Amino acid sequence: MKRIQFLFALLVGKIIMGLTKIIPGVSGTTWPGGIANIIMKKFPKYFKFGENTRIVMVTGTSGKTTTTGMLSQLIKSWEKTICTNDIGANMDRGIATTLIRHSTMGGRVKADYVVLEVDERYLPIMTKLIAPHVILVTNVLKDQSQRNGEPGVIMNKLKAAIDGDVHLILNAHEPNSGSLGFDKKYVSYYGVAGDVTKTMDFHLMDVSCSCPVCGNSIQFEYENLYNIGKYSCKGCGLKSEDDATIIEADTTNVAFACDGTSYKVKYISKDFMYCYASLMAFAKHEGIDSKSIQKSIDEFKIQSGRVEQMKAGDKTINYLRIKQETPVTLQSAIDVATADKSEKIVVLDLSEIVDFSPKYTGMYYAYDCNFRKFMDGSVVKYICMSKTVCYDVATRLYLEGVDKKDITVIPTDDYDLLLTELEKYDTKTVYLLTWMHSYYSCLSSIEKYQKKAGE
Amino acid sequence: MMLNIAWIYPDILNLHGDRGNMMAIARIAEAMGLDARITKVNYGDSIDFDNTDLIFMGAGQIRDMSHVVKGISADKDAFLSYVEKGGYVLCIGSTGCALGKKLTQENGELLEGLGILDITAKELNRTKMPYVTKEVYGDDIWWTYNNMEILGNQIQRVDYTLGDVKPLGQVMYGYGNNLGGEEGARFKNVLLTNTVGPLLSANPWFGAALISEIMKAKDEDVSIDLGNLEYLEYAKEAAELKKRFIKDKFKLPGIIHNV
Repeated sequence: MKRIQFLFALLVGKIIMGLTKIIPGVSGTTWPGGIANIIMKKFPKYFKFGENTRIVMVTGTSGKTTTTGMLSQLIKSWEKTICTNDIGANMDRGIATTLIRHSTMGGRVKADYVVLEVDERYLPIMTKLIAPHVILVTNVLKDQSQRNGEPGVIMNKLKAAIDGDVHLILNAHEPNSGSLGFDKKYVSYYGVAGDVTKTMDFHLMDVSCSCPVCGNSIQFEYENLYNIGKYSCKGCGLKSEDDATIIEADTTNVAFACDGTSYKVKYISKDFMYCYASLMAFAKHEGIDSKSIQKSIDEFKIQSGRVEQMKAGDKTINYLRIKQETPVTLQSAIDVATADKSEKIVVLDLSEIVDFSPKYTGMYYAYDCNFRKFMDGSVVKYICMSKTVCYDVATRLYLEGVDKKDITVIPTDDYDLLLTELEKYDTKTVYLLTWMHSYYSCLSSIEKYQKKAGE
Repeated sequence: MMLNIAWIYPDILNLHGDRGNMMAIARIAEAMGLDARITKVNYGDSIDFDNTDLIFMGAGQIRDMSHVVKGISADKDAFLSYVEKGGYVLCIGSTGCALGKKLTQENGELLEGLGILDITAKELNRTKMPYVTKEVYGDDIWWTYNNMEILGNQIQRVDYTLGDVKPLGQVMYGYGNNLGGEEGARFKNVLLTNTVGPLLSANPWFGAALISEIMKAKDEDVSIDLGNLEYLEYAKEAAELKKRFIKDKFKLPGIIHNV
């Protein structure tokens, strides 16, 4: 009976998938799975996988989509077949849709690898439906407080999802992720080498984070990203695992080195380095050769709208997307902007948070980030824009020590007005740090601006 | 004149950018003609109660509360004596669980607090309100304290029930302690609020009132005039924009609004 119900749900899912191609506004990445899940509870559980199919789940706070994309490309470059949701639909509906897309009418998923990006809150649900061979955790950090509250909530969910047989690939440099390997049989770790002398700039207002095991303070020997680096706990002795796949960034040659081999890359920022490190740990675990790894790195492309460069008149606008309420992504954007030492204008469009109901004005996550890095004399103007929290962002900058005369506040989310404001300055380089939904409105304003200017 | 602040467990109690409160209080004190001396009290350190005018405890994770209780327990008698003598404490968010009597966790386990505040807490497990997730309620909060309007955010992980303590303020919009219209708690000079934002950076007038109270208790009179505070205009403009934003949400079911 269940088999018939499953086949019916699958058929309906496939029909809807076909219809989404011709009906505008209906998402082909979630609707088919969403309806199938309504027809049959625990729908993904009834798919059949080949005996040798490897199932991999990628989860964590940030870097999931990029890591999933990299792993998928690696598997393709290794000339294996793959079923993946590498477009980021990572909850129950999206995953069900992915399985519908890649299965036969009988519900058999034909692929050597199934690589699923899984929202961290959904991991315990998904691992009950589909048993993974490998779980890769990017990091477990402060993220979407309105939904997650605190990292401890997510840690409880991840612990509930991990059973004894799965192989864990964990970030050795992030205390929460690293601690998941405690007492586990099958674990490998990864990390990125850092520079102890460069990264620690002691200041009264600097803080770290609490240890997931004993609650004491975590001390970082170096911090490559926000709360990610080589660490140890002052209380229980939890520390970065020494036996880890560590890669070393080579910014001069735009490459990284791992186990004596150098790999050329396109993206050199620290957050990408951690994705590459996880890729290397995965490749090592699966026995994938270095030629396939380099091929996959060459062919991998990030999703559009995350890091973009746009021209508007004489200005080059470097668009850096952040995930709101998630300090690690804002800090990464700050790090990218500060790595460029040329004279620049920094636009902060942190905006109010409208992802869930009730929408709200949270921007406190900006206080977790280090804006001091901007104060090297290269920023000639800070522009704080957004309908509601622009003055809060200006306060944040002021409290970091930015002179008020260097701050302009424009209480709007209208990019046309931003472009008009930018005309007042001779500086050519602009960094725009903003949230994901604003990319297309920014692009549209720039196109309008270019048309008006006859460019 | 000096304002001595003990910043308790800054690495651990820093869930929602709480260090912003320390950045702000230094500027507010400066604008009031005071020097703020901020001393970090790390886990395992003792608090120098004799040379402290304000103890600051930022918001922490529920998972860390037992550890916070354990850490402060070594100083518990001295802490109680400090409070009895009128010492000031500003505590944010879930860290009230550590100062309170007990926390009932979602799994039914009880955590004994320090008992400094007569409050109890229950970890959220909301099944009725239709917002986001069962473990947390996140929203704006707008409340009054001594005729002063306070605006900020609230990331609530527990419901607080007050015993023999007064609420710190009255909710105009938001969740407050437990959707009952009361915000935070006050016992003698121990102040608990659910407001993040951070509280003092978004509401320098609250910081000024608090500092003024503290200095009066030290027999040192300071002006509450914030005319010298350079970011005051930013804070005022931000508050007005937030009020406008909040008023758009009055139609939402289940949330108190008394504006």
